[in-house]
Amino acid sequence: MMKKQKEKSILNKIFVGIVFTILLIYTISLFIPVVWAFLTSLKGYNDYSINMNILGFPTLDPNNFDNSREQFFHLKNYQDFFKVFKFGEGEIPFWSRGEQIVHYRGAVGPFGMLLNTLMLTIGGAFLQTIVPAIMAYALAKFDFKLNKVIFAVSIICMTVPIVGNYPAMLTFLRDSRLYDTMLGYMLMKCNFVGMYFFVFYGFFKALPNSFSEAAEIDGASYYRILLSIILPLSITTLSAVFIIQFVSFWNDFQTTYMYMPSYPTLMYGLWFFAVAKSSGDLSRITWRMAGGMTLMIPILIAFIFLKDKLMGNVTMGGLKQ
Amino acid sequence: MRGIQTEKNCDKIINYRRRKQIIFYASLVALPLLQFCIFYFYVNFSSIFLGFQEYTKLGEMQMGYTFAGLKNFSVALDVVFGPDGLEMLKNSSIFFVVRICVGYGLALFFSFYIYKKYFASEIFRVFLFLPSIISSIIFGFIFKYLVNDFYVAFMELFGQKVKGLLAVTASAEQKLGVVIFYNIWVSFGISVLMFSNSMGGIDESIVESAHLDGTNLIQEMWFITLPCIWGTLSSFFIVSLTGIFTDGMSLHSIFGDSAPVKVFGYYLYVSANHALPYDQVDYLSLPKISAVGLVITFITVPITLTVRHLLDRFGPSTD
Repeated sequence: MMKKQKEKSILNKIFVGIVFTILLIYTISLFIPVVWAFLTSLKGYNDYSINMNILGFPTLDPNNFDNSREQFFHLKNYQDFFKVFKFGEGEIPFWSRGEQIVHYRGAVGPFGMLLNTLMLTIGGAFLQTIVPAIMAYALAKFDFKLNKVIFAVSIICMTVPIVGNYPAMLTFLRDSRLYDTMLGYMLMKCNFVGMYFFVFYGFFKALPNSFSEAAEIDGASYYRILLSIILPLSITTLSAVFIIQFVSFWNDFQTTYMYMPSYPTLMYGLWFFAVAKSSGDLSRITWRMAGGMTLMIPILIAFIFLKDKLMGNVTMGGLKQ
Repeated sequence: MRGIQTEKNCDKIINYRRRKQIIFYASLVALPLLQFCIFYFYVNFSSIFLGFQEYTKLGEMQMGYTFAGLKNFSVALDVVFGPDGLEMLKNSSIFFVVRICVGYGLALFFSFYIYKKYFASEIFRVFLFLPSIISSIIFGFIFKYLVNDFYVAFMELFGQKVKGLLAVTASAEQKLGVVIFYNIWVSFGISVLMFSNSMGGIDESIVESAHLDGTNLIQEMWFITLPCIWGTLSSFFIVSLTGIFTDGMSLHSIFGDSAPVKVFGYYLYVSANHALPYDQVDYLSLPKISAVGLVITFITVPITLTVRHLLDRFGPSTD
């Protein structure tokens, strides 16, 4: 019996030890690129491409302006990144109802891109949080025959994969003149179907009716109950979903690329200059790394402070409180 | 008489309350439903109509469309079942197998470690999630330089002259391998989070009684944990299966519009974005791409529904 227990204990220790080692290697493998990218963002371009200092720390060369100590401490690559990171004026031609239309985009600098990012991120995250929440509340708390239909449709939409409806969506947006407009973008995001609809549905279903019933007896209208009682009670869930959506919208560049070319965001700009264009405005690797680091920092800071909300609350079946 | 009066009053109050409820309910669901009808139903149905259309240029700035019959679908079948389509299917299928066996396999071990709260599990949990919150563009282009410049310089330290793993001269198989590695490398965040959260819901008493019976950790994982989180596992399996036709494998984030590896998800996205209503030299027209999407949907839907049914029916029972 004792021998069996000992064997079991050794087997468990080996198992845990192997998983721990793999996890440790994996964690280090995540650190290496981030640290390397940060160091590269501090190197002079000549240091990287001519001296071939690819692995080492930045070399400070007083005779080389590009690699001087002053430039290093002034974070020259970061300054240069902001100087070159801009879209010039451009034309966006597209076909709508059989006619060619042209949208004109003015020059957009880093500040303009930040503004676009904030508008699209905050607007998109807000709508993708509040619309599923309101729909879920209506279905969870009011008994109507339509509920079953909406619920079934939501499940079918999540189960049946519809592939490649981009052409139809583009054609619809272009023909309805909603393509490349803020209104079109916001309307697209007023969508309730998705995982968070079910998350909110589970939450509201579990919420006791006693508060709203008491308020109703006191003469409060349904709108008042929703705004003054239900929304404050669900603020934890709402904010968790909002944060998750915010991160996802901040990192999204494909929606801008596909549907909003006149409103370049920071991520779209970085993708366009660092990935899509192999030469030109952001051709130096040191600038690219400086750009990557600059855009990574806000999300990393947000993650440090909000990691419990981001990671702790969501499960496939609902939200944990 | 008085009783009837009170009953009537009660009915009136109930009707009045119900009317108020209907107005409130309608005001909440009307707009989202309208949005859904337009942006989901209308768009997806118009996808079918678009597949049967053909546009012709009437002038420099004008265009008209005609019924194309099955012409677009004939092109779509050539794309899906032609050499390019089979190559894309092969690439995605290899990725699917690696994701299931290696990606989810490792994710399960990691999740189990975190669920059992072993040494530094909270720290590992945070680091595993990190690639999910950092933009795929940033991680993607850092990775691209890492497997080219960094890798070459690193191997030189050991006196080996090598070429970058994604160098232009690298073989297609090697490039596919590197892309698959990248996708697995950054994929643990969501899967580990979901698996470990699901494992957290397992009844402690089952685990304790199994331990009293002398179960070791591997047995516990195989016979208790996996059956208990089967629902979550099967959802991930189905999402990955659908991904054969929809997942772009982050190719657009890493390579832009000229990726050295092609998969259906990437092909459809890039083609749609460059497509015009009529054919161009490099890109098919929007109606033809719509037809490709429909053909793929036609293949994917029955596969997904059948697999879901089979997993529900024959998956392990928690009993």
